[in-house]
Amino acid sequence: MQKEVAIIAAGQTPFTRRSSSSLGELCFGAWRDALRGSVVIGKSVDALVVCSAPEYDRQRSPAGVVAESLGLSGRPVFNVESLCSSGSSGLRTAYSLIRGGLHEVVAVVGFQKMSELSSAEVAERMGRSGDVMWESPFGLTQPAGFALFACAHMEAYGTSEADLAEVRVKSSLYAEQNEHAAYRKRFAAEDILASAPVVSPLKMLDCCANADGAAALIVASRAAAERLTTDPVWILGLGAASDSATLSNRDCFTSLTSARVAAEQAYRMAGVGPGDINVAEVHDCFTITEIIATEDLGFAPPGSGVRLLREGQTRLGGRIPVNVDGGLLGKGHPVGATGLSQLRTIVRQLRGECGATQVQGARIGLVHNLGGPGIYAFVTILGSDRP
Amino acid sequence: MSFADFGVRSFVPDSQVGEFASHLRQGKVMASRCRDCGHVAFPPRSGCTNCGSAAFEWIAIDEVGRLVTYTRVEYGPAGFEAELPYVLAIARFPLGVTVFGQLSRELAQTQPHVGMPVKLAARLLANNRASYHFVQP
Repeated sequence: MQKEVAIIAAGQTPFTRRSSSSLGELCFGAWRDALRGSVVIGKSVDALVVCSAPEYDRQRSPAGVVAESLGLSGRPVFNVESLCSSGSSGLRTAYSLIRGGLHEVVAVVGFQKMSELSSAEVAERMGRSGDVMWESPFGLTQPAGFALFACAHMEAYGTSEADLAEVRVKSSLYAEQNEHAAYRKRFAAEDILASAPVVSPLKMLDCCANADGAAALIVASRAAAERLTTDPVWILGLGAASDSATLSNRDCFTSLTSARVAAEQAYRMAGVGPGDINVAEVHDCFTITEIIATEDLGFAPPGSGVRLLREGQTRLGGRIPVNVDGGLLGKGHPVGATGLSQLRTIVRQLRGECGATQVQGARIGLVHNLGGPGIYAFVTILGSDRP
Repeated sequence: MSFADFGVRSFVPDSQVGEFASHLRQGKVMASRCRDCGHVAFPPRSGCTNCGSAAFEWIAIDEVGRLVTYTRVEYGPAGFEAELPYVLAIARFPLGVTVFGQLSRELAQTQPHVGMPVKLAARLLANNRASYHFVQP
């Protein structure tokens, strides 16, 4: 297992429906939470990667503003975007900047202040989430894209709406215990099944909701990590792939090909398999997505994700606890911050900092982060040195 | 008719395959076929992603296809208020293409199901716009 690059700090702001902070202030909150008072780590940062989906931002080119808010003006700054997986794009960028030898310590900061847009502006952007040339003219939305996968999965494997509801029941159980989550209400299956239809078979409570928030990681070379922390979390495996933006160029609607490819790459690089993962964060933008993710990651064979869920294997105490921080469904989804928040949860799990939702003895964790319906897919495997 | 008139709402005014919209006006839904390697593409493309050629011709998708998946949309984006609810669907055709679009109003009112046979038909809209939809064969 290679241990060349480590995450040495991770933080986030609470995710909320509407934050009273500006975007620079939000990013400062996540940065401060990551540093936990360590001025030395903050001063050692020699480059910054900023992750956001700019269609939600009032600020053009926010990277410069973010750098200034963190006191990092002067360092080189990069803005990366891959929709909801922008944070994982940022981590991959930081990893290569370090491995390429250009930088030693890189901060990766992601944010979104979704509440800055009016509901009319949100509705306008909703209509441009697919391929604008060929698919938006039919009224395709992001939820509708995933609903097409849900329908195909139900047809192929007999997955039911009650199975989908079970994902949200689980996520609400853990979101209730996460003080950084925006949606902390406990739901029963009946609540989810009775919520308003949005895009069949998905209902309101099958869908994650927008939120405001920021998250930050500090990534370091092995030498810098050994100098700056006694508790590094190593980046063991990175996988990244893409797929066609037009749904009409997809071969498969029961699985996300890009996520399967990214998972294979990450497992190969880390030298581990699905059975070695102790805890996982997967991109549950919709309930169906969590079920498909557990199959794409090899935690269950194709079509058996529901069984894994129903047997309680993805809960705390199960074989592979998934989204025990509440996931996107519970935390809310500030697009540019989401991937980094998932990574932060795994860093905390591997450091044994998760209290009531700690997976005992977790040493290897995985993050699965999607941009759009698998247009972009990232899988990251992290490991700790703890005995 | 220009490509800016394609669909209920369009975002892309210009394209090298803009003629697609004129074919719709004549009642035809077309794919592109590379003149060099024969690769068929939908959505149509002026540049072949298989061999890199920029020479293409039009070929009609006039056969019966099968529904792969669908969803009934109850909340739509700006500009689609009058369409709601509508059914988005994906169908595969023997020509080797997969097509995304809406089911016709009539077809949406039946019980759509995966595997259902469908055909493509041009759909004329208000304000001189045109689109296509899936209809019963």
